[in-house]
Amino acid sequence: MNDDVIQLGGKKRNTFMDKVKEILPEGGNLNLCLTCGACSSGCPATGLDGMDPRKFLRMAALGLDQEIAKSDWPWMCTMCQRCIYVCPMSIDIPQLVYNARGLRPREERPKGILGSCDMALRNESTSAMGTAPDDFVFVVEDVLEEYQEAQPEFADMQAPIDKEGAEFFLNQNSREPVTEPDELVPLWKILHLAGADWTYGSAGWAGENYCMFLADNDAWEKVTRTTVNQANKLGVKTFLNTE
Amino acid sequence: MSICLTVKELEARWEKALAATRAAVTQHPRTYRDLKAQAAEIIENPIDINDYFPRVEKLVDQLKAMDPCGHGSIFDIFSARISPSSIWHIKMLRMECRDLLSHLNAFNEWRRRQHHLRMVK
Ligand code: SF4
Ligand code: SF4
Repeated sequence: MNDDVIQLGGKKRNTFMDKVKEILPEGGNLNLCLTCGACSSGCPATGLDGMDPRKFLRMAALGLDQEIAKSDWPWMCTMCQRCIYVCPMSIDIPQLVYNARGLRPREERPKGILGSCDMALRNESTSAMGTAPDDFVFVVEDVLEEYQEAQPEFADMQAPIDKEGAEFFLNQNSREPVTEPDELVPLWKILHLAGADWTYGSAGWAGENYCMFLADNDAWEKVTRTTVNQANKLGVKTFLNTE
Repeated sequence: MSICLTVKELEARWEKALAATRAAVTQHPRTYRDLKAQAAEIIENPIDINDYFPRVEKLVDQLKAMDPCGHGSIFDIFSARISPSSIWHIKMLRMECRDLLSHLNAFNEWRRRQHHLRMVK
């Protein structure tokens, strides 16, 4: 049966044929997709731009690199990984999607994602909304004080920033401190009641990483390293990714 | 569509589709040849927008003629996939035709191996 594997060879070097070979498990056979479609039936991006994950995989396997580069569909995939979960062969379609995104010149990638990534590179916060470290510190301290006063049962609650040697380093989506500061508090309360020893970092506190969605490896790494370096600098043992 | 399929189940389904395809090809050899030629032509040549529906209709008719009772052959599966009500984006027609021919190549490989095994016996 394994001899039936779709022919992925050919004289022309196709980026995607190679990528498909890399992600296809030992003995995997893409012809089996014909009577399956489990990935497409659970995918939130199915039907958008006339595409679905199974079609995308076939296009890749057939070496249709140009069509893939032109398609907007890879930008519609949410990277949720549902397709991998339901696939009998555990084929990593989002990895292919990621590679497809990288085919486009950076400046031609979707403006919203591009702008958010560039914003994150502007300062040490790594915030896609461009929030500066000082602003984050101000909001956290302000909101904490308000809740300590208004809710006496949480008078001792803390929201530390740059606490050396804490057990957990937490990141935080920028949306809360910028637009919904009260939404920061429920997690603080849970950590307080659990007696957790935690801290934010003044650098690398923003959890969202649009550079990953942009398929900009260098920027993705820079954002991640800023966070990791701050956690290491503080001597924190465990990184809790809230994103 | 079940989300708990196993590779074994998929292999059984593929084997069944191949067997149904072999039966269809044996019964309709001329339509099979015409169908392949038609798909290859769509891949190789640009299609005028006015020709799109007649072309697809012809292709779908050929696919249906190959497996009129819907026995789950490659033709049966592609007749649903290629019908104009399934392809909302014209650019996808060429990709589907390529995919059809790729599956038929896999079928031919399979058939060759089957013949080979019989000869050895
Ligand atoms: S990772 Fe992308 S392709 Fe896979 S199910 Fe999610 S949206 Fe669909
Ligand atoms: S779930 Fe896996 S086996 Fe099924 S169609 Fe998708 S990629 Fe193919």
